[in-house]
Amino acid sequence: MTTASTFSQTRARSAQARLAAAFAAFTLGALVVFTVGFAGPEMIHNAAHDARHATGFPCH
Amino acid sequence: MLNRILSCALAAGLVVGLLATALQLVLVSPLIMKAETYETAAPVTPHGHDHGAGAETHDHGDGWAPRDGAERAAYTALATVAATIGFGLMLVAAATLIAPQGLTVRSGVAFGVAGFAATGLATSLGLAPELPGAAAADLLGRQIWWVTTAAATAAGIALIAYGRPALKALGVALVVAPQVVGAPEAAAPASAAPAELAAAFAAHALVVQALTWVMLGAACGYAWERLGRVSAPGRTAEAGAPLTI
Repeated sequence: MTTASTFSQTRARSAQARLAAAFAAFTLGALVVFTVGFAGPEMIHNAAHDARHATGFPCH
Repeated sequence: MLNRILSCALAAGLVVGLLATALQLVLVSPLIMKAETYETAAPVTPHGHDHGAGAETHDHGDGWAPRDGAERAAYTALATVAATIGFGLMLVAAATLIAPQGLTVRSGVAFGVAGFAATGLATSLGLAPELPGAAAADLLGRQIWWVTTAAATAAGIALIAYGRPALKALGVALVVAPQVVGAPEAAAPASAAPAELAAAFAAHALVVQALTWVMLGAACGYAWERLGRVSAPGRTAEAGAPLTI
């Protein structure tokens, strides 16, 4: 195995790891934003009410 | 890598979320409270307040709600910090994928501006930040339009900034399409609060959002660089080459 192919494999693995980490973090972030901004339960709505209005989320 | 993204977004989101809360409590919350005085003065129906023809029914229900004052401010802080951390996670994740030089304060600010353009400016064209008691169409329809518009605009901006020439055109289409479709509109423009108050609220809310996004981008960039130095002293950022879109 040449140094070049080892390098390109390592690089591909690193890109894959980066993709997986970014996807996981993005999904987690979207879930948090969804809960604060859009979740239906009345308790969450009332707790986040002013933040929803200030952030421009449709609230009522 | 995931640890670095999470630590970076948590630290930046927490600090900027608290600053955003301060801005909100000073600039935005007083306008919401003022609008609520008009709202409660409007004729009331058994379940919720009816604001007349075209106005939505604004019903907080009979369940728990924070008491006005410190408790309400505390929950606003909690929600704002959580949302800021959530947006921070999405910002750092996006930057990890597509920023050529990794995240820096400078590129972080650019990502923050893009985030504001997607979630603040593009969505406001169809659905301006609304006061309690504003006339509005069905909630679910507006929520779907808001999320779709923010996502399409963010993807569009990414394609315009980083895509090959053919994809840049697709990027422009993604930014424009939600505005052409348009947001669901209220049956009739009727609002409990005066127009002057609604205008002031929309402007204040947008300014606070803009400041929050720019601070969040800068803080994420700063945290990303610092965490890189801590985990790999003497080496530059680990972000590496961008993925080709």
